[in-house]
This record gives sequence, structure tokens and C-alpha cells, in this order.
Amino acid sequence: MGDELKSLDGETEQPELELSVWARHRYFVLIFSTIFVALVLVGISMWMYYASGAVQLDLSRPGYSSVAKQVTDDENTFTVYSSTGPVNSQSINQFQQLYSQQAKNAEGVDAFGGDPLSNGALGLPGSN
Amino acid sequence: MTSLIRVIGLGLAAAALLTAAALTPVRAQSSADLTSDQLNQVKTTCLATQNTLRQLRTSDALLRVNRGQLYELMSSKLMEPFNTRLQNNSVDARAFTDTSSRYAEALNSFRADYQSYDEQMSAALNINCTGQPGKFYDAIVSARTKRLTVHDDILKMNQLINSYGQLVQYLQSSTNGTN
Repeated sequence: MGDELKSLDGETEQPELELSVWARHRYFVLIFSTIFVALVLVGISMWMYYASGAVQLDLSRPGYSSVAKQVTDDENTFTVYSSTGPVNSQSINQFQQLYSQQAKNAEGVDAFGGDPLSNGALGLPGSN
Repeated sequence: MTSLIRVIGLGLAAAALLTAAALTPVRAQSSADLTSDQLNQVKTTCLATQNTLRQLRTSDALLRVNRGQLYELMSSKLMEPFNTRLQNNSVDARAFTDTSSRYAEALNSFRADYQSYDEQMSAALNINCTGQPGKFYDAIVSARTKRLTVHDDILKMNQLINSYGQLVQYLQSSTNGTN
């Protein structure tokens, strides 16, 4: 009753509501809090991307596109050995064939061998 | 006779010392061991060196992806299913599971060591080598050591692949013997 005022012509008038700070700046706060949350989430994802080592496997990065096409598709061509079934001479033989073929592939390349970082290779002074 | 034994003994000792010296890895040189002329040489050639490092980093990234994939599939698509099959058939698979778990550990070390190596290469590439040739040189020495660690991981995995293969061969021969 107290909030309602009567004007001179007898009509009821609503008092002007006092807006809180939050209400006055709600769009501003909403936009900036959204941006802040997005930045935090991007920061967490980037940290995970680097810390997990995924960055080293990502050949779509700038500077790696020249070698990205040379990635072998082992995931789809690699034959899986079934974990079910009997263990007999035939099944072991089948495993041996699959295994020795892939073992040969693995051992065939001296990965990270040699010394391309030696002083000689890099043209640096000193004897390694 | 005594002098002959002494000569042989001395010869053996010398051979042992020479072998030990040959097997001991050369201590990684640091920039502190370089003369000012050598540091100037590093400064002069460092931009070309950084270019070489960039190319090496790219080819190593491809190697990491391809080799890593192959080593991972060896475990997930061959060793693990075979271990499971042995266990399902109540065959004593302890030696197999032991070898494959050591292989998995080596694979994890490979991943971590490669990451460390790649970060070191990145650090070497981000150094202003003309301004800080000594720091650049030390970064390369560190990257070299880390690359050797990655190579050791590869050798260890190859060795475990070989051991697992021998276990399968032994199982095959014992199965043939019982049949």
C-alpha cells in the first residue's frame, strides 16, 4: 500500500525501482565472464595439449605439413591377433608369423640412431 | 716364467684399461670448454645450424609418430591379446606378461624422453644464438644427450620385442614336443 502512490488525477503510479549494481551492469558482466571462462578453458586445453605430449604427435602444426603425408597408416593395416581361441601349434604359428613380420619392421630402422647432433654434423667446433 | 706371467698380466691390464677407455662415452663438452675463437665460430655458423636443427626436428617428429605407432601396436594388437589368450587357456603366461609389461614401461619412457628431447630442441631453436652462442652450444649438447636417451629406449624396446619372440618360439617348441 505504501509503495503505491496516487497522482493528482487519481491514477496509481509505480515508484521508480532502484536497480542494483549487478542489474545495471548485467550485460557487461555476462559478456566479460563468458570471455573469462572461455580463456580459462582454452588455457587448460593448451596446457593439456603440451603436457600430454600430444603436441609432438600433431603434424598438422605449421612447419610439419611437409612430412604429414608420410605418416604410415599402421593403425588400419596392422593385423590384430585374436585374444580368444585355443593355444596350439597352429595358433602359435599364426602368431609367430604376424609377430616376426612386425618385429622385423620395428628392428629394421635404427630410429634416433647415428648422431646428427654431433659437432661435426652441425659444423660446430669441439670434439662432441 | 714369473716375468712372462708379469708381462701377460701387464698386457691384460693395459688391454682392460684401453677397452674401458674406448667404452667410456666421451664427456659432453660444454661452452665453458670452448675458446673465444670457437665461440665466435659458433656465432658465425649458428643460423645455418638452427636451420639444420629445424629440419632434424621435423624429420624426428615424423619418426616419432611412425615408430611410436608401430611400437604401440606391437603391444596393443599382438602382445596383449596373446597374453590374454594364454591366460584364457590356463597356460603359464608369467614370463610373457612380465616381458610385455617391461615393454610397456620402455614405451612410456620413450614417450617421456622424446617429449623432453623435443622440448630441448625447441629451447635451442628459441635461443638468440648470435647473442648467446655459449647458451646455444650448451642447449645443443643437452639435446644430443637427450636424443641418445631416446635411442637407448628404442634399443631397449627392440631387445624386449626380441625376448618376447624367443618366448613364443620356446612355447612353440614345447607345444610341438607335447603334441
